[in-house]
Amino acid sequence: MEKHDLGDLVGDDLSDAELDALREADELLRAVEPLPELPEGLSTAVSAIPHTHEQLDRKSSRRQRFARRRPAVLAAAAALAGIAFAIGWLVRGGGEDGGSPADIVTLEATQHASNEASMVIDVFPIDEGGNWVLLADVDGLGPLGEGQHYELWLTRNNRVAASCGRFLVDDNGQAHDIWFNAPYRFSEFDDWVVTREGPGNERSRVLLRAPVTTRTS
Amino acid sequence: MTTIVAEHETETRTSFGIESQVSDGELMLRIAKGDAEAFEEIYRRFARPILGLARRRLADPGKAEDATQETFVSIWRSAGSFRPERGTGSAWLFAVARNSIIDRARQRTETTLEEAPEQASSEPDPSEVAESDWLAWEVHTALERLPEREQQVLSMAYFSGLSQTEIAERLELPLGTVKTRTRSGLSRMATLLEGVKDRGEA
Repeated sequence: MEKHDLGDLVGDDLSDAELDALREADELLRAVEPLPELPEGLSTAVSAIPHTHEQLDRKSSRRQRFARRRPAVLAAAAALAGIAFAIGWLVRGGGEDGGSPADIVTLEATQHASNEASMVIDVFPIDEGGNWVLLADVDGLGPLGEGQHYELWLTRNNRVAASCGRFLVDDNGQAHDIWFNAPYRFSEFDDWVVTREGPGNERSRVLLRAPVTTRTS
Repeated sequence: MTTIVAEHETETRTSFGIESQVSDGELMLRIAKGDAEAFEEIYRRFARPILGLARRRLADPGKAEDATQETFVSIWRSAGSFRPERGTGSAWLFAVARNSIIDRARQRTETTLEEAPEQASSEPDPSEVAESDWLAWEVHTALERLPEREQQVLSMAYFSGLSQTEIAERLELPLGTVKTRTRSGLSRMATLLEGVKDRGEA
């Protein structure tokens, strides 16, 4: 496709300085593809979102408490593992309004990751499509190499069995508000794990791990 | 240039509604409080850039549309996590869109912890892809902020390859008006995109 010179587009009565002022915008517009037209159904579907999806209270007291007192919380988590089932059951019962997490899962670093690494997942009740909705924050993971990504899995018998999704991290090893869908029965799995995938990772080393404690049918 | 400035100022008053004066970040804060009108305005500003990003990264147009819709679900549900002190609304939206698109692109495969398959490195350098995505995002979101009449002539010139004379004929406008709108649109784009190239190359 022919793209005309800047001079052709704006006329020949501009000074060099005036042309220069427009040149970067001109070059950037030449470098990108056209904006797509919106499909008709998309606007309708999106306009219904405020009426069909509840907003989440992302400042849940549990998560805030975790952020402020992470070491204490981690220690307590180990001690309280035995009653995780009961807590999960109670929380799930209290979260049936769809706005509160049914469970909060904390994945901790294995020997293959920095001690600082962790992931916190809010497990929300099953949506209309039959998926568990997961909202995660991750911190302390290492930088990714070329073509690599992190991936959240559910495992069975020490093998990754179901992927919940891939994600990237920023330069500080963090990512916030990562949404996943999990159309699975958690009771069929053993652990949540995070691995690094892609070139240079012939073996999927588990970087973060937590047992599956969310009791679901 | 006097004519151009005069039209620019007039358009700012007449073509930009009240919502257009509100920053993306302010709209995000309003969405967090359940403001559906602010959500609609974010859709108006970002739907096409998000769909464009999804189409770049997903070969399937249907998946791209799904990822765009999922992005707006995420925006509505998690707007409360936006923190103005941590970055612009546009940057937050870009991150949310990117994660939705990655999620949509994922493949659920059965692999083992011990024997994960080696993946071929046939994809372009991720940093180049990210830079390219961000550049397109900045340009597209800036274009969406232009008054309709400026966006129209720039799209016809840059994306349809039409000459100014052809644009004038199609829109049944004097050639001088088309050139004035092109200058005005480019000028506004230059302001909105100031330093984008430098940031992208940094």
